[in-house]
This record gives sequence, C-alpha cells and structure tokens, in this order.
Amino acid sequence: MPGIITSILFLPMLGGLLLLFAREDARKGSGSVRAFALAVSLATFALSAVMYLGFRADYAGMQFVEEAAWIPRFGIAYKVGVDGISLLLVMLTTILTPVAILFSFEDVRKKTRLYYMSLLFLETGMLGVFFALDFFLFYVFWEGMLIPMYLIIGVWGGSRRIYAAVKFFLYTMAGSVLMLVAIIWLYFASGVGTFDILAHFREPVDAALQPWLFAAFAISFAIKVPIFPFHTWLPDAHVEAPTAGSVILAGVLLKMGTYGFMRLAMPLFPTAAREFAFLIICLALVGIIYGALMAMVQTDVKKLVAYSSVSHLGFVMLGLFSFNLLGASGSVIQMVNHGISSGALFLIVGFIYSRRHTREIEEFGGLLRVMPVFSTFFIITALSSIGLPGLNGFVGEFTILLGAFERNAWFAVFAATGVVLSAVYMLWMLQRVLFGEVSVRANLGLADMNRREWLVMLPMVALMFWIGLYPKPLFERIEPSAKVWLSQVNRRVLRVEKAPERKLRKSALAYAQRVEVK
Amino acid sequence: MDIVYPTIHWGYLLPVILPVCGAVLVLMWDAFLARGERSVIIIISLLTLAAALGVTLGARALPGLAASFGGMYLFDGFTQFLYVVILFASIFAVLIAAAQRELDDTPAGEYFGLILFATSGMMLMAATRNLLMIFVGLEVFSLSLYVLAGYLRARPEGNEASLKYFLLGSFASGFLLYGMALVYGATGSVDLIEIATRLHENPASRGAAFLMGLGFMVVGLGFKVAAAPFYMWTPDVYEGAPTAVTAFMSVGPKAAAFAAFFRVFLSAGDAGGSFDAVLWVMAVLTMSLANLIAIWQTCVKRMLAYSSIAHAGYLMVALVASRSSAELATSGFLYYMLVYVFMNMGAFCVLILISNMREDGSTKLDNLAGLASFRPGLAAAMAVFMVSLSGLPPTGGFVAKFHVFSAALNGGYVWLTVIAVLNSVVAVYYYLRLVVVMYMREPQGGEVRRAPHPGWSYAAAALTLAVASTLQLGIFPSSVLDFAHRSTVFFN
Repeated sequence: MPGIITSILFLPMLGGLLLLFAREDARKGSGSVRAFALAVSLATFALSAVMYLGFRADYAGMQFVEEAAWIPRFGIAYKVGVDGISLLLVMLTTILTPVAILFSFEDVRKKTRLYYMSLLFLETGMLGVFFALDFFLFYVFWEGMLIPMYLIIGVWGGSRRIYAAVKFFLYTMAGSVLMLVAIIWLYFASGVGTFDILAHFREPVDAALQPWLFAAFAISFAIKVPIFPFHTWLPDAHVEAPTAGSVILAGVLLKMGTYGFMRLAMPLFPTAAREFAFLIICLALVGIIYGALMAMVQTDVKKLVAYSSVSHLGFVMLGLFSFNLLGASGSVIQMVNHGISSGALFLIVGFIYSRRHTREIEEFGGLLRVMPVFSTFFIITALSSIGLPGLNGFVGEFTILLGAFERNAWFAVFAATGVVLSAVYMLWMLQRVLFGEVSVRANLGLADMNRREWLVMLPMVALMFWIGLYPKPLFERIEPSAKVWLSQVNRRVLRVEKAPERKLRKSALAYAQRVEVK
Repeated sequence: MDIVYPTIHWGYLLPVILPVCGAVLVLMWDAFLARGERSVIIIISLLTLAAALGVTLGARALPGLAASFGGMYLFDGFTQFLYVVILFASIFAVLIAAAQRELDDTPAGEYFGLILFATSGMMLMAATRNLLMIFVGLEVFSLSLYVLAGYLRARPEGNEASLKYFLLGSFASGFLLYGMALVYGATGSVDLIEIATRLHENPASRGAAFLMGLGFMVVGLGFKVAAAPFYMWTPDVYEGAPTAVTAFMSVGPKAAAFAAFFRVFLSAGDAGGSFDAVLWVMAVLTMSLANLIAIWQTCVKRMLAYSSIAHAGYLMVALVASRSSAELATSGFLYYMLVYVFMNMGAFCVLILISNMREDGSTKLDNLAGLASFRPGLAAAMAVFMVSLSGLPPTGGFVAKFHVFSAALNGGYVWLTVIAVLNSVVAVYYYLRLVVVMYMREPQGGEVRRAPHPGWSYAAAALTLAVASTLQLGIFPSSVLDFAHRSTVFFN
C-alpha cells in the first residue's frame, strides 16, 4: 500500500486547510463545518484501519516505510513508517479524534471553524510524531502540534484558560528545545551525517556523551508524560481545556512522552538509560502513589481524573524501565488503555458538566436514580481505569507489574499500592456522585444520555471490553517490535567503570567504545 | 609614473546603480513633475528595487571577476545573498510605508528617495573588502536613516529619536573609524585580503594596536547591529521613528553591519581569536537582556524593538561560531537574515494596519484584543509571524534557528547554544502573548472602522509575500538553503 501513511498523516491537515473556505457554524444544532471535520476524521480512521489490517504481525521492523528527500544538505528526509509500537498509538489517535469532534458538536459554539481546524491540525501533528523516522521531522511535528493545542486550551477553555495554555506551552517548549540541542549534537557527534533515526540506532553513541544526550531527551519527554516532579502543568491544562481538548491531551499527547522514551531516548542511549533507570523508576513510583493520593483529595471530578493520569503513566514508565519483554509490551498496552479509559472519563465529566456547569463532587449524588444509562457507562469506565479483570486496564497494569516484579520485587510492591489506591479514589468518587439519595434538587431533572452521547461512548466501551477480554491480537503485533526494542536497549557499550581511569579512556579506549558486546 | 586603471565589471555594479538612479529620479519627479503624486513615486521605487533584485538573482558570482575598483567593490557569493536580503527589506519598506496613514501628508519624494539611498549604502557596505568602503557605506545609509527617523517632524518622539540616533550614531562611527585607523597602523593596509596576509606573515602586526583597533571596530559595528551593551539607543529610536522606518531600520542596517562583522572577523582569522570570548559574552548579554526586557513591554512597537535586539543576539551566535565552523555559521547567518526580513517586516506591516485603524495611531498591545474576531486574516498573518519569530516549526524562523544552532554546536559552543535555546523559550512568552491577546480576548472597541487606506493593496501584497515566504522557508527550505551555502564564498 504505497503512500498509505502519507495519506493518513496529511488528510486531517488537508481537511483543516479546506475549512478555511467554509462558513462558521452559527446556529445551534446545525452546521457544515463540524460535519465536515467529523467526516475527515472518520475517513482518516478508515484509512488507518486499512493500514491496521495490512500490517504484518510477524514482521518486527518498520512497515509501509516511505522516504523522500527533504533537506539533503543536512541529511534530512521525509521518512515515515510504522511498527508494532507505534501502530497502536496511531490507531488510538485516529479513534479518539472523531470521538472528540463528535463530542464537541454541542460543546463548542464559538469560532467553530478555527476550533475544528485546530483539532484536525492537531491530529496531523500527533500522527506525525508517531510516524516520523527522521529526527528533524519528528521535532517539527513534536513542536508544531503545540500551537493547535495551545489554541484549543486558550480559546475554548475554562476561566483560567490563558494561564493554563501559556503554562502548558512554556513547560513543553522548555523541555523540547533542550532535545533540539541534543538532536543536533548527536548529529555531529555520531558522524552518521543524517537525521535518519534508524541509521542512528545502528551507530552506538559514545558512552561519555550518552548521559548528557539522554538527560536532554529525557527532560523533554518527562515533562510531556509527565513524570513527577514535572507534572505541575498537567492539572491546570486538563482542568481548563475544553472536554475534547482534555480527551486528546490525556488520550494521546501524554503518550507522546512515553513513546519518546521508548522510541528515541532508551534505544539511542542504552547505557545512560540503564544508569538513570533506578532514578526514573523511583520517580515513576513516587508519581504512581503521589498521583493517586492527590486524586483522592480532589473535590473537582476533572482534576481527580487529571491526577489519576499522573498515577497511570507512572506504570508505563515503570514498565519501560524494567528492561524486559513483559514490561515493554505491557507499557504499550497500558498507553493505549490509559488513552481509552481516561479519554472516556473526561467525556463523562464533560456530559455532567454540560448539564450542570459544575464539576464539584459535592454538587452530585444519587445520579444513578436520575440517569441510569449514564451511570452504567460511568461505572464501566471507572472500573476500566481501576483495572478490573475483564476490562482493558487490568491487562496493561498486570503485565507491567509482572515485568517490574521480574526486575525487582519491591518495585512491584510499591506499584501495586498504586492499584489499590486507584480503586480507593475511583470507587469513593463513584459512591459520592452516583449512589445514595439525590442530594441536590437541581439534579432531579437531569436528562439521561442522548443519541450523540451514546455514539461517543459506544466505541470507547467496546474497546474496553475488547482489549480486556481478547488482547491477544494486540500483543501479537507489539511483541516482535518489542523484542527488537529490547535487544537495542540491552546492548552494552564497553566502558571503564573506575573513576581515576576515566581520563585515559578518551585516548586509549576511543576505538574500543565503538565495539559492541552483548 | 604608471597609472594602474582598476578593473570595473559594470554588470555587477548594476544592482547598486539602479537604486541610486531610482532615488535621483524620484527626487526629481517629486520636485518638477508631479508634486504630491505618491503612487507614481512608490511605483518608481518599487520598479527600481525589483529590477535590482532581478539583476542580482540573475547574476552569477564568478571567481576572479568579483572585485572592481581594486576590491573597493566586490560582488562575491556573500554579496549576492546579502543583496537579496537588503533589496527585499527595501521593497517591504516601500510597500509598508505606502500603507501607513501617518506618512500620507509627508513629502513622498524625499522619503522614498532616502529609502533608496539608504539601500545603496547598505549594499555598498556589504559588498566590499575595503575598510574605508565599509565606512562610506555605513555613513551613506546612516545619514539617510537619521533623517528618516525624524521624518514626522511634528512629533516630539520623532525628533528625540532622530537626535538620539544621530548623536550616538556619530559617536559610534567615530569609534569604528578610529578602529580602522589603528588596524591600518598595525598592518599597513585597509584592504581585508592584504590585512589577512600581513597578519599571517608578520606576527608583530598582531600586537596591541591591532587588537585595540579590532576592539573599537567591534564597538562601532556592535552599535549598528544593536548588540549589548551598545543597544541602549535602540528602543527609543525604534519607538520614536515612523513604524515603516523602524521596520526598515530593524533589518537593513543589521544585514549590512553583520556582513562587515563577518568579513572583518573571517579575514582576521586566528589573530581575532582573543575576541571570541568578547563576542560570546556580547551574544549572551544581547539575547538575555533583550528577551527579559521585552517581556515587560506593553507597546507592541517597543516589544518588537527589543525582539529585534534579541535576534541580533542569535546572529551574534553565528558570528561567534564563524571561526570554528565557518561555512555553517555564514550560511546560517545568511539564511537567518533572509527569514528575519520576511517575518519581521510582516509583523511591522500588520502593526501599521492596526495603528491605521485608530485615530491616534497607537500601537498598544491592548489594541490587538480580539483582532481574530473582526480581522481574522490579519490576526492569522500576525500569528504566523509570531510563531516564526519564536522559532517554532513549521516556519522559516525554526529552520533559521536550527541552522544557526547547528553551526554553534558544530563549532563546539554547547553552552552558548543552550543559553540561546533557553532564550527562545523566554521569547515565546512575549511573542505568544500577542496570540493570546488576538485570539483569546474580546475586542475592547475603540478601533475606528475608517475607510480602508488607499495604500491597502501595497500592504496586502507585502503581507502575502511575507506569509508565503515565511512558510515556504520553513516547509521547503532546501533550495534557499543551497543558495545560502553557495553564498559562503568570500572575496572571490
């Protein structure tokens, strides 16, 4: 299927550009802009589904690779491809975008044209990050998608939207410029003479340089994930963003950080990754527990969900830095799972917010009596987030825990605390919002889910059950690539351990460093 | 005594001759033919500049044929690219001046004549290997700009700007000239190739006199490019001058003065090595101070003034790297300069259109509130320029920064690069504040919906060109990058 990736990648952008010639949706309940945007995003999903079906599960390398010269002087090319790791994240993106657009039909009333343009541009940006096989291309998408996200938070967000948007932008930007320095440095230091990511995998990086470069990449990705203590932008951005923005932010954007660790930082600098592994695992464990504790004390449902993201992404980091197959494939699954369940939770928060214009837990209670269908969806989603067996969350967290246990039992013990805590804050929240008597009069007349809301939630719930009950096809696609990844991160570059000898290393062992030993 | 007649390649001189002829024609036209016919004068200016640009792009800088008048005039690859930069800057200067309401009632002949004279001065300064010619070029454009800065005679700020620029500028010119004299004293020549040869052959010529001379030249040129600590005049002059002049001043003189900087330091070679640290510190100070001060500005024009100082800082980074990584640094500087013309001129053009909407012509940040809801096209264009000035993809500003930072890293200046990228994060804050104001605030009213200015079509042309080029240089940079790399040929 030649050109399939390029079509998937640029179809949303093309749709966004065509919207320039459209007229604003003025009235409630009708509009061609949003219908067009939905059609474009569904067509993108259809194309990506074609790609999914054509993906060869038995092949570990990059598939559907396309390459074209872009800036030959610097060895920069337009090179895209997909493997088992990025495939699922691409699918996640193409599924969540139409869902987010469909949700926005009633939610967004002002400046609709700019809004849907931003969402479609954002989709291209996110897909580009997952598809890119060239550092420069990767960076262009990585930074380029900040702008539409910034607009989505800043124009259609809540009352403190400008503060949240600027904070989001500056945090992410501060991290990513350091990555830019590291990319250029790597380009000159490696002598490969190209920005092709795959070519850099083949060329081991000088062990003395690795910690610096790894740190620069890692800070950039750690801010995006976010790993404790770089998480402070996240609650603000999530709470202030419009619902669709939160869905995309939690569902896909955060995964770009973990994906960056997996695709770039760890396989490029394996030695440094192992040196930093303990630190990062500790931070991940702190994040798991801290995120859960913070979620527990929130009075705002949306903020609760936001902090739960900090906790859940800690699991992904834990899995990655376990350096084993279970951890790695569990992490990929967990990235997808978190995208689905936290996306769905934000949608649910969006449903009650559009009815009551508040998200305070105290304002609710006994919703089960008033909105039974809604409550059912809410319970399923919350259980999926907790990790109930049979639903998707369990598959990822359990695999990661196995991987962590294999590395060090204590890691698994601490992480398991996080699972318990997540049950505490989720179930407690469910109890206060759904069960009991209807405590606030305003909730008595609330309408249950309408047809559009059904349509929004159905694919999410279907995915939760599918991944929860039958994750085999996903694992089959992940594992070959995860094995390749594992061999990359486990390779060792010979180095001298003792401190006094460090000075000699550069001259005497300069050649030896290039030699790989298993 | 034999008289050696210098070789002259008239074809290569044409790009400078055209604007000079255009300037004379414009002045004469205004004086004798049609007093007050602005559009004719604007069109003449545009045509001569476009013709000069066409000749420049069509010319091929051939080795061995570059020098005319014994090196006084030099058309090498470097010159060619800088001509493109300067001529584009002048074309924009004419287009946006044609659209500025405040300039409507001022004499057109002198204004556009001075712009064309300044253009020729900048071009001459970029196209020589002779120190004296560098000075002559500098004075030609500086004198024109002194007048232009105070062109709105009734405004006290304009007079202040003009006087300040003149006094400090002359002072700086003095430094530059003194520096040149010392270099001449140490090496016995004003020709950069000769100087380079003698510095190489005779270690004694690299003594204190030479270093002092070079130091004074750094002061003089540093003043013209507005590098710290010699930038103090910039904000006031930029704010006081008519916006169209400010736009021109923030681009043209920078290109010319940096050209001289590069030529001088590349010919000084290792003898200028002791200035690496000085230039390093100047680059860091320029970027950091300008960006930090720009955050606090509430007037867009003044903010853009500080932003232009900050960009001089990024260009200084290229200058610092030019000794250890000559080709990348020089082509990076050239590419950056070209991108800077489009994005900065575009931003000033939007600013002029916004101040046209108001009775008092003010350029306060609040005037942009909600621009996206009543002028979506204008707001989108401004957003593109701000994104590019911040150095974010997919715009030319990103590729330019990427290129300059590559040069610095290749030259081994890791910390300088880190400081530069962190500076660009600070800069994002104030550039994006414009986007915040335009897109995320409601219009506050007060803008006068006057009939469109008769020059709006010039502004529209300028904006279209600027947006298209900014995006093109960011998305498909390859052909222009190759041009910039071909243009790193010096003196040959």
